[in-house]
Formats: sequence, structure tokens, C-alpha cells
Amino acid sequence: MTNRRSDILQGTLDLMALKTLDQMGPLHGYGLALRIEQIGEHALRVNQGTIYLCLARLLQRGWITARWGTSENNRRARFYTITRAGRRQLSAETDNWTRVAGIMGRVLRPVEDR
Amino acid sequence: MWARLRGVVVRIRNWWHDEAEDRGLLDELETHISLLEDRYRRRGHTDVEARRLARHALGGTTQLREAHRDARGLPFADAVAQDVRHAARVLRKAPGFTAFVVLIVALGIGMSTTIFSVVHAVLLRPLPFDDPVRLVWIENDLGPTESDRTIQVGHLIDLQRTSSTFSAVAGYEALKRGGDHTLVGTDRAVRVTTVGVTRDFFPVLGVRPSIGRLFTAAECEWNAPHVVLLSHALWQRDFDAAPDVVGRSLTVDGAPSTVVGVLPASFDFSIFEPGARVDLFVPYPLSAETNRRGNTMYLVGRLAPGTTLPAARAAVQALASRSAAGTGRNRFLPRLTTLRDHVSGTYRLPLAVLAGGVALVLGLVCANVSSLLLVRATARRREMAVRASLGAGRGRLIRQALTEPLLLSAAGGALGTSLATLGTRLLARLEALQLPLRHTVDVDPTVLTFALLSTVAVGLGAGVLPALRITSSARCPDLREGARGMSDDRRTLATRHVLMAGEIALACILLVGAGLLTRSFARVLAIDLGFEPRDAIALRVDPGLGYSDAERTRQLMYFDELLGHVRAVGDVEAAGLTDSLPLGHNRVWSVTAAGRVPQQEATPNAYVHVVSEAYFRSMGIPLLRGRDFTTADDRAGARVIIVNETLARGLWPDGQALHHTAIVGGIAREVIGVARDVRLVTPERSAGPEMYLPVRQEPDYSAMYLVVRGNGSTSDMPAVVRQAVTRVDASPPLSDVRFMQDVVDEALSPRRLVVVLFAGFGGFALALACLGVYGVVSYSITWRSREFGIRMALGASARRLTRAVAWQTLRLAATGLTVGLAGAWCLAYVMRGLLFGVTSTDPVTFGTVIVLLAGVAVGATFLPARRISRIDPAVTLRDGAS
Repeated sequence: MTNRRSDILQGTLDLMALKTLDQMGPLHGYGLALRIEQIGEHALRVNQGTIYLCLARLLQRGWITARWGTSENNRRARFYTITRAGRRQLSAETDNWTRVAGIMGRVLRPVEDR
Repeated sequence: MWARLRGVVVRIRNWWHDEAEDRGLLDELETHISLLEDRYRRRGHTDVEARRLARHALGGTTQLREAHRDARGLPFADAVAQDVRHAARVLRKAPGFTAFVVLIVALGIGMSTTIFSVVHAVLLRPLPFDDPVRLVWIENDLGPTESDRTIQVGHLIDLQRTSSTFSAVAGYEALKRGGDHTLVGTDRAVRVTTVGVTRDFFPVLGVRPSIGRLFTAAECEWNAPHVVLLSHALWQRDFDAAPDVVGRSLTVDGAPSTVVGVLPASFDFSIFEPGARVDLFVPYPLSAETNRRGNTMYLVGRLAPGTTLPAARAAVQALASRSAAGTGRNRFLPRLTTLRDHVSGTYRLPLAVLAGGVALVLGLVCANVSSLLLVRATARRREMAVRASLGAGRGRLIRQALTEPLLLSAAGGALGTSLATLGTRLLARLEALQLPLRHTVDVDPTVLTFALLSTVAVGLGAGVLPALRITSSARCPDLREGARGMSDDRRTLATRHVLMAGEIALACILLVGAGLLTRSFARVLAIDLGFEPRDAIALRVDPGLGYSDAERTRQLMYFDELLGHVRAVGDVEAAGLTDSLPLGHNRVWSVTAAGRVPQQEATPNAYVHVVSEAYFRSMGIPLLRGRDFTTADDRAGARVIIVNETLARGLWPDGQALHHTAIVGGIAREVIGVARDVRLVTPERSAGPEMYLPVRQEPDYSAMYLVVRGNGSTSDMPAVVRQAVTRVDASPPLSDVRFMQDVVDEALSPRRLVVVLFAGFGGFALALACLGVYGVVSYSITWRSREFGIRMALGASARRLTRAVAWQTLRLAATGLTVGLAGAWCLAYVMRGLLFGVTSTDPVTFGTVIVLLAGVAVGATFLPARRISRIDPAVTLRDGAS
């Protein structure tokens, strides 16, 4: 049970990272974490470190690429960019997510509203 | 799918560059922390607080690094690598044990892989033709000789015309009339072997020339201009692989021939006749003229789509019985087998026996390694107990315990595969070994897979018992220093005793097999071949063909001069001529006794040899009665003949063959001598009736060999004879000089190979069983030394204790021996087809093996058991108390 929930969480985080990279262009891990925190209105409190596990997964799938560069405070950082396969995955996942969200919305709506 | 595959590749790459990846992550995390710190400082936190908050926001770095490694790399491989490193470290600390185990595994894997590569090449791999399972071999089933097995051209024509069972039928001319020819057209004249094939022969097999083309229909007509196809080997050897060889004109036996093509390297005619080396292929016309030559052909057919072998059998049978009536042709009693059966059918049993033997050897290796690992398992009980109490699950412990034997077998397997590569190379080049497809024996991917699988099997087979043992004791950890774990040791010892009994059983089976084969081989070597191969050499001397009287007369003059020169050489005892060597090609003619009407169906056929005077002495064939041919037995003299014992008995049952008249080919000949029977076809089987005709009276021969017997004092007889021959006429190229002993050895080579290999298995098995017994006994004494000390202190004598230990061991050895004898009886039954002159229950072999193994067991028991007498009760008791 715990396992499955973390799967869903993992999937959410992956989707958010993809979306963010698609919108914002190349980002390093800190930038990505910051952005997700802002969008999530601090509601989604994750260990920022987990973002690196997420990035490792996405790299393996070939949905993002990484390149070494320099951060704004002049340190070594990896910048991640979404790939074409990543965009395809993003659009597929987005459709899927909207559909599931719609269904869940209808299912969970209070009875009298139906 | 692709994303997943890509993921695996990325994981492997990351795993490989683990350190660099880890450093990269650390850099990233540091940057991340410093950026977070900046942010917190901007919000007004102190440096210390900013640092703390940043670390908190990021989470634990150590866990993150671990999780990241698992996410990007191969967590399973990490665990395995850890196990392997650990096992390697442990093994490095025991170099003697490691070297011994690797060596015996290497020998086991080396032998089994070599045997498998032979089995694979000869029995499993498809024949190197198109769709080889549809190829059928057709021969005559009248008897064992070539004349009885070959088929007349007319029958082949019928088959081609009428049969819808075959999409095509082709044939080749049996080698008895081929023999070698003189080839001029390269820088020097060479002797080559030629075989005639029908036009369809290569198309039926699906063999395409590497250069040029195959024969056309017009070239396969009678009296068409001569054309030849070159074998790949000849093209490389004598034509320097010249690409422009097609169209070149050669002279074969004085007649001009045009090269039309070169066959591919993959085509090897020795598939059809093991040991045959064919250089040139010429068209064999299917015409009235070749039909008149009688039985000349072996046939190969390709089954039409949808036809089966039994259907083809029935169809050819029907055709043969139809054409038996009224065509005046020779009898055709068709025998159809798959080409695969024809090529390797007779090798199936010996190879199966070898494969079985090598499987037993592998089992023995497993048992031995297993037994040794058990000892080490006992020694490492504490280590395992510690690991178990620190939380390692049993599965994890088993995996770790299996890593060590797998690592050992991997090292042994790698070494063994190298041995097998050497072994197969050696076999493939062993010209003296008559094995079909011999040159294709190699270590290919399939063989490598086999080596890999058997390596894993040996590792698991040897490791599984110790792994269970080692981990079951770890479940109830006993961490006390020096804890003896008596019951556990007892179980280990019991397991080792069972393994020892198993080793003796396996060794017994292998030794009985080796013994039976060796005794058979000794019997074969002791066979009276009817001739004496030692000190006899033979070489082809006929100067080309030519059947006209003038040609023959010239040849006889040449032979006279030749014999004169050779006989004048000092160390030559005798020199003679024959048209066919024992264990070579042969032919039969019919023969009758004058004045007696032969019963129908029983017209005696006899092997024909056209020989000169002194042939009998040079080949070492005893003349039992009468006289040898002389130079006076020529065309002017009375027609004479010499027969062998079997023919003499067959034609004149009263035993008085001498001076009777035999009729051969319509000519009456007086029997002037009776010779000893000669093993003509194989050394194992007596041939049957034979007759000898004088070369000066009988012009029908297609080859002539000079046979020279030396007096044994010259080591280089071939060179001496060669010199004498070239002194007469240097122009004709000389064939290789053959020692008759080599001819015999070659005929025995498959049997010799099986014997040598199996004897090797037996010796290896004996050594392993011996070590097995020795190891168990010395282990048990070490383990029980304290007990013995106590018993000795209480008054037991060392002798009595020794007897007790020996009794325990030998009882188990006897059990193993009994089981082994039962197994050996089964093996002997299976391999009875390979035995010669001994029964499968040969009491001498079984008795010897029993005595040998019992002796070895007793020796290997009492040698270490002597240590009991050196036990000092005072010492062992004191050590035990500490």
C-alpha cells in the first residue's frame, strides 16, 4: 500500500518536473525545486533531494538531457533540458491526467450535485 | 520498449562509471545547498541558521546518495559485485584450494566442451547444404563391398525420369575407379584425386561455385570436351588462388580440360567419404556407355515437398522391382537413409558414450568440489553466524555462499574453454582421424553457450549442498569462541561420506567403461590382419592411364625397370605391385570352379587384386600352399591364379584347391597358390573370398601401387624408395609414400580416439575418487581427534580406533562401489556395440576395477588414518579444555 502511494507521488513529481522544464527551459536541480515549490504554493512539501532521484529516472528514460554548466553563484551545476521524447511523454501524461482528474472529480462530487 | 531498453543501457553505463556519477551528484548537491543558504541569508537568517535550514530542506545526503545510486545504477549488480569481491578475497587467502578446484573444473569443462564441440559438428549442426533435412542417401544393399553398395547408371536415369518423390536425384562415381591422376597446367605436375559427379550433384546439395559456374548439360554428354571444377583447397594450393583460373586449360592424364569453376571453401567432399581428399570434379555422363560399367554410383536425392522418407523408400522400392524385370541391369536393392544418418549414423553411439562419460566426469568434479567446500563451510560457520545475527536473510546468505563456487567454476570454465579451443583445433587438424566433418569441429557460439551453461551448472551443482549446510547452521547462531557445533560437524561429515560414496560410484562406472574399451582395443590390435604392416610402405606408381595393348606393354616394361631398381636398394627385402591396398578401395568379380555348376543366387563374388610377383612377401601375406607368381606368369604362359583360404574352401570344400581350375571372366586359370585371408574392409571384420591375378596377364586395373618391405634398419625408407623410383623416370609426379602401419592406424583412429578419451576420463576419475576418500578420512580424524584422545585416555588402542575409522569409511566405499557396478553394468550394456572380443559383462574388467578401487579406497583410508596413532591424549585433552 505504501509502495503504491509513493508510486503515484513519484509519477506526480516526474510529471511536474517535465512540465516545468518544458515551460522554463534548461534548469538546474535547485531552480527546478524552487519552481515546483512556488507552483505548488508550498502545499507539496517534499525533501528537495528527491528531485535528484526524479531527474535520474527521467534521464534514464531519455525524456531529459543533462549538461554541466555554472550556477548563478558560480558553482558547478547540471542543467536539465527536456527532449522531444520528453515532450511527447508530457503531452500523453497531461491528457491522461486531465481525464483521470475529470473522472475522479465526478466520482468524488457530493451526491446532490449529480 | 525502447525507453526501457535505453534505461537499462543508461543504468549499465552509470553503474560502470559509478564513482564519477557519485562525484557529480555531490557537486550538484553542494551547489544546491549553497544556493539555498544564499536564499535563507537573503531572508535575514544568520550564516549558521541558513546552513542548518538549507540542510534540512534538502534532506539527508547519505541516504540520498544511496537512493540515487540505486535509482541510476544496478542495485542488484552492486550486491553481486560485493559478493564477488568478498569471495575473491576469501579465495585469495586459500591459493592451494583455489588452484586445485580451478584446475579440476578446468579439466572437466575442457573435456566436456571438446566432446560437445565434436557432437555438435558431427551430429547436431545441420549439414553444410541447402535444407539438409530433405537430402536422402541412396545406395545398393547387396553386401558390404563397394560393388555391392553402388548402383548402376540405368537405375539413376529411371529414378530421375519417373520419380515424383524426389525434386532431383544426383550421384557421384564411387572412388574405386577414381584414384589419382596427373595434373599438368600449374608450375609443376601434381597428382590429384578426381571424382565424377552427375550434372545435378551440386544443385541438389545447393552448393554454388565461388568462382565460375557448374557443369552444363552439354558438358555432361558422353565424349563431350573435358571440363573440371577445382576444389577450393587445390585452387589455393596449386593455383595460388588466382581469380582468373576459370577458362584456363589444364592437362589431366594427358587430356586437355578446361576449368569452369572453383567450389566454395565450405564444400568438403569428405562428408561423403571420411578421409577422402578430392581435388577435381569432372562430369559423369549418364549414358549407355557409363551404364555398361556396371555398379558405379552412390546417389543423393532431394525429397520433393510433402514427401517423407518412408514414402520415398516405397517409391524407389517399387521402381527397383519394376526395372528388375527385363532390363538386363544389375540388381538394385535400394537402401534409403537420410544423408545425416549416412554421414554420421555410425558415430552416434561412440559420441553418445563419450558424452555420457564426460557428464559423469562433470558430476565427479561437482562432488569433489562440493566436498571440499563443505570443509571450508565448517570453518566459516562463525562468519556466517555473525552475518545472520547482523540481519542478513537466509536468501542473501545462500547467494553469498553460492558466489564462491560460482566464481571458482567461472575461473575453471574460462580456463577449460581455452583448453577446449586448443583441443578442438588439434582434433580438426588431425589428418589421421577418420571423422566426417572433422575440419568443422570448432568452438562456435553454440559451443561457447554450452561451456557457459556447464560452468554455471558445475558452480551450482558443487555449491548448493555447502550453501544449504552453511546457512542452516547460521540460523541458530553460535558465536562462542571455539564453539565446536558437534551435531553440525556430524552432518557435514555425513554429507561428505555420501559424496565420497558417489564419487566412488562414478569412478567405478568410468573405469569399467575405460577398461572394456581398452580391452576391446587391445583385442583389435592383436587381430591377425593377414598382412604385416610394419616395415611396409606403399606409393602410387602407375604412369597415367591407357588400356591399349601397346600402352600396357610399355607400362609393364616401366614396372619391370622400377622393380629392378627398387629391389637393388640395399635395405629392401622385397618389392611388389598391387592395384588395391588392404583397407583401401576394393572391387569384386565373380568366380566359379571349373566343372561345377554354381547354384543360382550363390554365384561367388571375390575381391580382385592384380598383383606382381613378390607382392605377397612385400605385404607380408603368408602363402599357405603352392607358389608365388613369377615373371614367367605372363601373356605367353599358362593362365594362373592365387586364391585365399576362404575362396579355396568355398569353391573346393574338400580342401584341395591347388591345381584346380577357376574361371574368372570366362578365362580358365589354374590355382597355383593359397594365401592367408586379409582384413580388407575394416580390421575388425574378415573380408571373405579373395583372388589374386598376375599383372602380366590381367590388364584390367586402374591404379598400381608399389609396395616395398624394408629390413627395418633404414629409418628413412620412403626417401630411399623415392630416389630409386625417380632414377627410372623423373617425369611422373610421385604421390605421398604411405606407411602401411599408418593406413591401419587411420582405420582404427575413431576407435583409438574413443579409447584414449575414455581412458583419460577413467584416470581422472580414479585420481578424484582417491583424493575424495583421502580428504574425508583426514577430515574425520581432525574433527574427532579430541574424542579419540579421550578414548585413548580411557584405554582404547590406536589400532582399534584406526580400525573403527577405516571400517566406517570402507563400508561407505563398498556401498558406492556396489552402486557403481550397477551403473557400470548399464553403461556396458549401452556401449556393447563398441566392444570387440569382450562381452559387456567381461569379468576381467569388472574384477580389475573392483580390485583397483578397493585397493585405492583402502590405501587412501589407511594413509591418513595412521595419524591416529600419533594422537597424544594429553595434548588433545589440554587443547580441548582451554
